[in-house]
Parts: sequence; C-alpha cells; structure tokens
Amino acid sequence: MKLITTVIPVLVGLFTLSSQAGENIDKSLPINNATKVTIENLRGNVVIVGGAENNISVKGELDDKAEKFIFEQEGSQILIKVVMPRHLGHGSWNENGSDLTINLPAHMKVNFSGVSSNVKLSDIENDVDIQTVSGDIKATNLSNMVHLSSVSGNIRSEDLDGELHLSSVSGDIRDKQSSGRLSIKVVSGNVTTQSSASEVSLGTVSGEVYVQLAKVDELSVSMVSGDFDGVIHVADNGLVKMSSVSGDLRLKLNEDIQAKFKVFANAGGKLINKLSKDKAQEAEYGPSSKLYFVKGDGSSTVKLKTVSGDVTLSTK
Amino acid sequence: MNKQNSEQLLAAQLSDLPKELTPKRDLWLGIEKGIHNKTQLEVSNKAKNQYVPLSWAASVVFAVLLTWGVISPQQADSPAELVVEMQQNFEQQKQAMLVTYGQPKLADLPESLKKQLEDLASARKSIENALLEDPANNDLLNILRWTQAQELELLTKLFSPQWQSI
Repeated sequence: MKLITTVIPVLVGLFTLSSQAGENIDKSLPINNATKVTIENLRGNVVIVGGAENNISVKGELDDKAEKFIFEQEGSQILIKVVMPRHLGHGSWNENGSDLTINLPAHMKVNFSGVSSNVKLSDIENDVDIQTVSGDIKATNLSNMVHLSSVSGNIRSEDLDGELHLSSVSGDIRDKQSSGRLSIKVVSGNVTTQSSASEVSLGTVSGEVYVQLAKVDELSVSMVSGDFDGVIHVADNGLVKMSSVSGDLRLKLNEDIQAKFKVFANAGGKLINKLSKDKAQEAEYGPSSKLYFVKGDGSSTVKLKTVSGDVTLSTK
Repeated sequence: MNKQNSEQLLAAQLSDLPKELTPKRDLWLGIEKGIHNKTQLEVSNKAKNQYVPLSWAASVVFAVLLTWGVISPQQADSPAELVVEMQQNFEQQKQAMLVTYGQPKLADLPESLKKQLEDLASARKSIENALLEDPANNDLLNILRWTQAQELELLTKLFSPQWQSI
C-alpha cells in the first residue's frame, strides 16, 4: 500500500511535466485500476488504437502553442490533455495542431473531445464517446456503446457493432458494415450507410440519404426536404416507418417481402407502386392520396407518409 | 252527610255537566297543519333520498375531473401552438445560455461557425414550416427537438468554460 501511495504520485509528477511547445513526446503509463481514458485536444490529428497490453502510450508531436501536456491517472480514469492558451480565439482552430498516436488496451472506455482535431479510432471493445466541432472522425472496428458526434466534421465508420449513435450538423456520415442498433442524425449533411443492423433510425432535415440494409427488423426514417434512396431487406415481422415532408422516398425492397403497405401522401405527392398491381387512390376532395395493399401473408408492416414528396416502391 | 246523600249529589252534578266540551281555542287548525307538514316531510325525505346517490356520483366525477386537470400535463391547445411553445422555450433557453456564457458576440465568430448556426436556424424554420403543413407529425416534432438541442450543444462547444479549456 505504501508502495502505491508513494509510486503513483511520483509517476503522476513525472508525467505531468511541462512540455515545450511543438515538442516530440513518447510517454507511457501503466493502467493499474483505470477503466477509462479521457482525451482532450483542441486541434491537429489524433490516432487512438486499441490492443495494447497493460499500459497506455502517447507518441507524436504537441501543438506548437501547447502550454502543457497532462498525462496522469485520476482515480479510475487516465487523462490525456494538451493544454492550450485560453486566449486563443475561434479563428485559430484551423491552424496546425498536435499530431499524436495513443495506444491503449481495447477494454478501456474512451472519451475524446476536440474542436478542429481530426480523430481516427480503431479496435476498441468498450464504450466510446467522440465529440468534435469541425474535426473529422474516422472509426473502425468498435463494439459496444458508440457515440460519434461532430458539428461540421465528416464521420466515416466501418465495422461498428453495438449501440451506435452517429450525428452531425453539416458534416457527411458514411457508415459501412455496421451491426447492432444504428441511429444516424444529420441536419444538412448527407448520409450513406451499408449496414446489417437489426434496428435502424435515421433523421435528416435537408440531407440526402442512401442506405443498403440487410435484414432489418425495424427501420424508422424522418426527413424534411432531403431525398431517401434505400435498398432494404425487411426481416419477417419487420416494421418500416418513414415520413418525409417534401423529399422523395425511393425504396427497393426484397422480392419476397410479406407485408402490409400503408402509403399516404397529404398534398400532391405521387405514389408509385412497382411491387404489385395495386394503384394509389386519390381523395375525392383535396390533393391527398393513399395506397394500401398486402403482399404475401402481410406479417411485416410498411408505413410511409409524405406531404408533397413522391414515393416509389419497387423490388431490388 | 250520609253515604247515600253524597252519591245523589254527585249524580246530580254529573247530569248537570254539558254533553260536549268546546276547547277555548280552535285546535283543528294546528292538527291539520301538523298532518300536512308530516306529509310534506315524508315527500321531501323521499326526494332527498333520491338525490343522495346522484350527489355522490357528481362528487366522484368532480373529484376525478379535478385530479385529471391537476395531474395531467398542461398541453397546448393545438399542434401549431405546441410548435410555437417549443420555439419560445428554445429561444428562452438559448438566451439564458448566452447570458451564462457572458453574452458572447455571435457576429465575431469565424464565417464557418456562423454558417453552422445559420444552417441550424434555417433548419428549425424549415421544420416549423413543414409542421404547419403536417401539424400532427411526431417525427417532425422529434427532429425539431433534436435540431434545437444541436444548436444549444454548438453554443456549449463554442462558449462553455469546459470547452474553452480544451
């Protein structure tokens, strides 16, 4: 016990040393009982890789204007922080920053906050929460609870599994080979996903969406003015719910889909059905129209609603 | 006076007594009134008995309605009003947040960040307009809520002490 109480402060002291601006660093720290890593870097590039044994290492070059580099254990978390001068304005976010590579054990939770810092993250098996303002995020091979969020940065993800939440305001999101439960939200960014997630939820305001979904149990899509293109395999007893205001919804569904279809357009949207011979019925009064039909045993449900966008249903 | 004499005297006095005795005041009025009142009381009690279950039912209904009114959340009268209310609450939250952060000048932000805020405000407007066309669309309400949250989150990232220290 005495050893721990004396060694840890010494280690902390060693690794909290002030670093010179633009300095190269190569440091490592034993994990001890830590379960979480919190990383803060204003600008630059950070690579985070899981797979190390029982220590965390940081290598690379600090930001030219870094005042201090903190690398220490605080209870159950390890903090890695590039401390920058407080008077740096928002305008300096796009200048060159730190260039760091962090290796850590795959079982640790990872939190990252950066402003214009790009981050690449791979091979983590525990919860991950990444937030940037304008920095891009690239995530590969993560499993568990994953939150990736940016304001104007783009998000690229591949081989994610678990409870996945990807969001951006104006950045684009491109997801590949995800599984588990996937939620994507953007305001004006575009979304592309090729996923085998069983539950998928998508929300956009003006962004365009293209999805390829394999055996989805539940799909929920809300769009305002963007268009949606989807190649979707709906699982048995699946549920698809989509709503759009002025954006078009184009769905290519599995040929053997067994579902009840309820498609409704409030104000002039065209309903085009290439799945069966059923035709849309226009309301006697007003511009609304509806298309109701059943395919196969109707075990799944497809509900689509639009105000003025067009809806097209066809097979893959 | 012997016993026979006294009996004769009593018999004579009895025979002198009048056959009928008229009361000093007319009691029939009182009796009649008494009978009438009793009938009224019975009728009134019957009526009262009929009202008791109704009163209980009314009390229970009133109590239920009162409880419903107090416990159930205050709801806007229409979806359109709900949207207006949501936007007003959002503006209040945003202003309160900016005050907390020392009233930063948004105009001083770099163009790229100003554009993000403008895009978010414009997205909110688009959703609000869309909700006018499709007022009962819960998905749109959720997107509006999320867009508002993104705007507040962006302000937090731009001005909160926590993010300023990154």
